[in-house]
Amino acid sequence: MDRLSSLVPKSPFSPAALLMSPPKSRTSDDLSHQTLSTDGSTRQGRYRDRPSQTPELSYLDAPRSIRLISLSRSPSPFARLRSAHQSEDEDEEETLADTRAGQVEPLVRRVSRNDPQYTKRLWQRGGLGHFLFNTPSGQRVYIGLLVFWLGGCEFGTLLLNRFIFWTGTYKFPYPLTMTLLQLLLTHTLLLGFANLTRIARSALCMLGLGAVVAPSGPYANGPQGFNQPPGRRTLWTKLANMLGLGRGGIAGGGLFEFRWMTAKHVLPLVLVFNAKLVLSNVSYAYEKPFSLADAASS
Amino acid sequence: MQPVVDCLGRYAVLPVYQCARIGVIPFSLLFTYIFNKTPHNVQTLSSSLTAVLNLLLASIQPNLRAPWQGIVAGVFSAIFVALYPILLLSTYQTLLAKAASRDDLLADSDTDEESTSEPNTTATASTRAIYKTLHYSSLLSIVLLTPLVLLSGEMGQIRRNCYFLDVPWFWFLVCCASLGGFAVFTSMLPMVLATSPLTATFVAVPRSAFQLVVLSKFRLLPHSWVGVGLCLASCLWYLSARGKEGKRVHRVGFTRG
Repeated sequence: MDRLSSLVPKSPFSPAALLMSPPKSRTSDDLSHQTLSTDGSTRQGRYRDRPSQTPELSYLDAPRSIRLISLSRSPSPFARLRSAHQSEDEDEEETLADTRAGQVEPLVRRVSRNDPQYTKRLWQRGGLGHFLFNTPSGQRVYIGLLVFWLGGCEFGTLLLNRFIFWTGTYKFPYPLTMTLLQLLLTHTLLLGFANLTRIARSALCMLGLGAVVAPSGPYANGPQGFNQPPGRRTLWTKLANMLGLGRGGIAGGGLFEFRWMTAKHVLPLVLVFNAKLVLSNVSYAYEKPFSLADAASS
Repeated sequence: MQPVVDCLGRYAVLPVYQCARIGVIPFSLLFTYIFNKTPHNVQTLSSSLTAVLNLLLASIQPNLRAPWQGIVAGVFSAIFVALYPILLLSTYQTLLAKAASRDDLLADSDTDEESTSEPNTTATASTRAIYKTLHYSSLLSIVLLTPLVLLSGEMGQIRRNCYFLDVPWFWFLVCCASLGGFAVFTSMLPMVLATSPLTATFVAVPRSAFQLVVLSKFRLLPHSWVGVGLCLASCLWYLSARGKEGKRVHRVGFTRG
């Protein structure tokens, strides 16, 4: 618009303006058209669709026309796209093509499943995680894998418990002790798993599964630089710092991370979990199978 | 027919266990409706209940005998099995909300986006909440269960009766079972997050039908075969009914903060 104002003199009725645009009424029409098209892109389209009796087209055919003025400088990219075929400027065409590409194509290009690029993309940096967590088909794959994994693991655990409780060589019909033993081992395995993800951090991030990596440090408790509350440096905290107990563990808060505030939130869950575990194992362990002697006597 | 029944009698434990715990899905439907205010549509309700009834049909066997303690424990455990995923989800959300509010304090909320691409950024709030839930529930369970074990007097019995505590095979079995328990324990939370508490409990229904067939060594009575077949069919129905569930995953996805 500033180029327009530099080309068009202050007074619209000055001789220079008359020279530049053959009919005077058309200048005003064109000007009014441009001001209007800044807010409505449809107007420009309507002008284009009309047959050649519209003033603009005949004006373009005229040899003395000044193209720079005639090209609409409206901010709407849609209107500019409509007039793209009339532009001969290479740079203009390129930028227009860019905007058109940005408009028509989605941000993430659709790659068909048969495309070799599809598999390549999957193994790119972060591709697997993106596929699993951010695409609809990946979500389905993720849920399917989870369902089979969960079902299979439950089945395997049930089979092994059955073996331990009453069909194995060594029968151990003590569900509570068994549950506690398994919980202790599970906690150890959880610790090992968290540390494993920390070791394999770069590989997991490469696959895009960086969200699986366990946090390695405790929470910062305020603005950066004021992480640790200054007081309460007892012998225990010194010892813990020396042994590195304040970091790592499962959730990044050390091996024995325990805050009463958090524990209060988790307590109902733990009660239900324990009740579920104990009652399931008790009900499972008490239902002894008929021994061979029973079957023979009945 | 007699040998078949005899054989079933010897392996009749699992059906009793499944019959006792048949209430898991109805309880889960009820609790998700009460606590999560999840309105269940007709398709979900009918498909899940049909699957459960067919599983019950498959599990009922003639000549079932079981001690009453086991059955009572099974019936009550169904309530807690149904409650567990619901509480798991709500606990996770509470911890996540706390973590998110702390992240706001730190004012580096854009670490969420970079964690997948940059190795050295801090863990996201959701990852931290997941690990925190696992850590606390595991630790507190051990703390709660230890006095229970000591009070139950099982230790004395074990000392008197068990002569095989130094056998490596026994400990190998225990380790394998704990590995399975660990896998179930850790994957339950991603499962609840990716789908819903109801679906996480519903996974047990086709599994039960499957293990009924496998553990009875493919020798079932005809009505059990019918029950198993219809149960698996209604599981597929449930799958189609909840097919659109996957689209809602983004609300609490694994990578989201």
